[in-house]
Amino acid sequence: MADQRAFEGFYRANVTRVVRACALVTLDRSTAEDVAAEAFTRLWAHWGQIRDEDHAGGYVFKTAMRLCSKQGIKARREIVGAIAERPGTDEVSRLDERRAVFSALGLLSVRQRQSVVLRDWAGYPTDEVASLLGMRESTVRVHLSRGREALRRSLSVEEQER
Amino acid sequence: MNVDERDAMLGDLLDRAVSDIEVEEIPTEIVHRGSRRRVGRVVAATGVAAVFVLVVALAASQFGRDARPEPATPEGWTTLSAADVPWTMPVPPGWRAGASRSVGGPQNMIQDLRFTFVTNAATGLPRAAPSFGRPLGGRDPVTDDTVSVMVDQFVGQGASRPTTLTFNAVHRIAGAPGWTSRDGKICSEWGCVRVYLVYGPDASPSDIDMATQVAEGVRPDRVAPSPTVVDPAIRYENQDPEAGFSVEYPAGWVVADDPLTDLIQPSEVVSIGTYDLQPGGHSRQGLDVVLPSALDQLGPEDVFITLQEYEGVIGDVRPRPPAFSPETVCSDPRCTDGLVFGFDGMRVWWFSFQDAASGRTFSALVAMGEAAYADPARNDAAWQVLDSLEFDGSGKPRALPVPAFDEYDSVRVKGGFEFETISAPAIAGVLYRFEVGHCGLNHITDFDGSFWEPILAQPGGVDTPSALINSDRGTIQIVASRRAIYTSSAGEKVTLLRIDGPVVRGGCL
Repeated sequence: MADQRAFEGFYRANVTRVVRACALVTLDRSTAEDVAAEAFTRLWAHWGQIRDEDHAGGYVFKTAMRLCSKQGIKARREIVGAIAERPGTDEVSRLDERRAVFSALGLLSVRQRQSVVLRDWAGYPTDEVASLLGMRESTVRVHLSRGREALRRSLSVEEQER
Repeated sequence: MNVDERDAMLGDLLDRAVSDIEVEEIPTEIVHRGSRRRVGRVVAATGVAAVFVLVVALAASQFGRDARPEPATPEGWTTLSAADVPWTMPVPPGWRAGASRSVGGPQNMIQDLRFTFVTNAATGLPRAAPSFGRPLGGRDPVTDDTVSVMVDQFVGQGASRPTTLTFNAVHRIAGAPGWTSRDGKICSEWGCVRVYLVYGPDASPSDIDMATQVAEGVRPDRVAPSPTVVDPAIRYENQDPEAGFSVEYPAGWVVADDPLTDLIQPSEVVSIGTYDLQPGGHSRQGLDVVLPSALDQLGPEDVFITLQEYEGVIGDVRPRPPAFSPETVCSDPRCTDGLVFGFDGMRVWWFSFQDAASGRTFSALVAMGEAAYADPARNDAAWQVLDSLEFDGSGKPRALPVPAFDEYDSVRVKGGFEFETISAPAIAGVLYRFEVGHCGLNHITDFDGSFWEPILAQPGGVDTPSALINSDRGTIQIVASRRAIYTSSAGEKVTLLRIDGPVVRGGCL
């Protein structure tokens, strides 16, 4: 049971972060939650082989990203409004910004999205991003560069239009 | 900004977009599902182990006390035994078995390294063993549920000579997160082999257990055991990352370690024969080209194959046939009979083809002695070597000159300027690098001697590709006589329709 308590602690501390990362890649919250659940299920199934929290984090992120990449391609044409909206009284501009960000992310390839999300949002160093995505570091840099460029271009257009 | 630095501004923007997402769910269902999978693993492992023990006991009772223990070969299993590797491996039904021979090169530490493998992966060459010093999968990436057992000769020093396999500790594989490797040594009178058990993070417990049986069934014996012997084609893989190909050839055939000729265009990719291939090349009578001197050593029962690659695009090349044979590479009877070149004592076919999947262009020379030509099995084996060729390159677009905007002679007409195409011809199915001018695909897209017009399902939609109105460096591929696909640097795909004749466009500032 100590194992299970440790897993549940890890789950609670990390599940939101994994779902958010997946949402940024799949552009769909419910898909992101499904992906995260599957990633944590696999983590628990292999919990006996996990050395420490870093190892667990790497495992669950790597698994989630792999599952995300399958979903992310399908999600490209369902961008706007795909994230469940919870409008509050002063949330309109925030929703607009979120729409803009997700629309901009939708213009990126899945690999570009994953690279930007893991590097710029999750803060993983580039070599770890490469490891998590199973790519060469140089390839990640290319995706990162192109993804950032496209994002900046798209987001500045959105801002000017508003 | 250096791409290796985190872009905090983008990071914050992304963070604000998902900051509302909170997951409060207690992981009961996840723990429940994960536990079921764990139990499944244990049950499967126990079941497989029980079957294995029964099979080993049965085998022991059949072979008698004095006999050396034979590999465990449960019903339906076969045994991998290649002519040039002095060990055997049991092969479960449905699993893939093969051998690989790495050609010596500057980057290789060991010449003529051979290893055999048994894997549940349908494709790809499992290459995760630490001693091979390469990231998992390499050019033939394998999926994360892959389980493989590899065996190579133990060339290191070591006093211990165990006759049964004992695994060392579990290793993680550098460069392959989540992958696990175990290795052990087993010896016989002639020497020792190293056995690697490698599996990915999604490998099923039953497959891991099956692979463990395979590993434990490895026998470092020169004599192939009964009941069934598979003599697999050796899978050869060139390690030069630029070469990007693999080919299979029958056991006993040889691959030249280095190019036989020093040709540059075309360049020799690989040469395979049934005999020792000596380097050197010369121009043969009546031909103003250099051919390998190895042809001179070809005997009546021999086969020789050499493959050369052309850099760039050459005209009038047939597409690769579904299956290579004299009938599919020739268009006249003398060619079909291999008599066009009139070389004494041999039949020769020499032809070029383009591999559509990779866009690469090759010429192949197949030569057979008269006895080999008359032997259907030998004859077929030669052509099957060509059939087994797999090329990398789908992701390596070819270069094609793209006209710059100022190269066009435009004529002012009503509504703008009239442009005539000046682009070079392209080959259907081949992926080309393509640079879009700064006014985008909507302005002028000149390719394959035609202009092209982009079409979109939802013009102006949120996922309208930027390349329609901006410069971009992507790839283009003709997918039908009047249709092409442009793939932008961001991965968006734009369908283009061929336009007949000139186009009239406004200026591009």
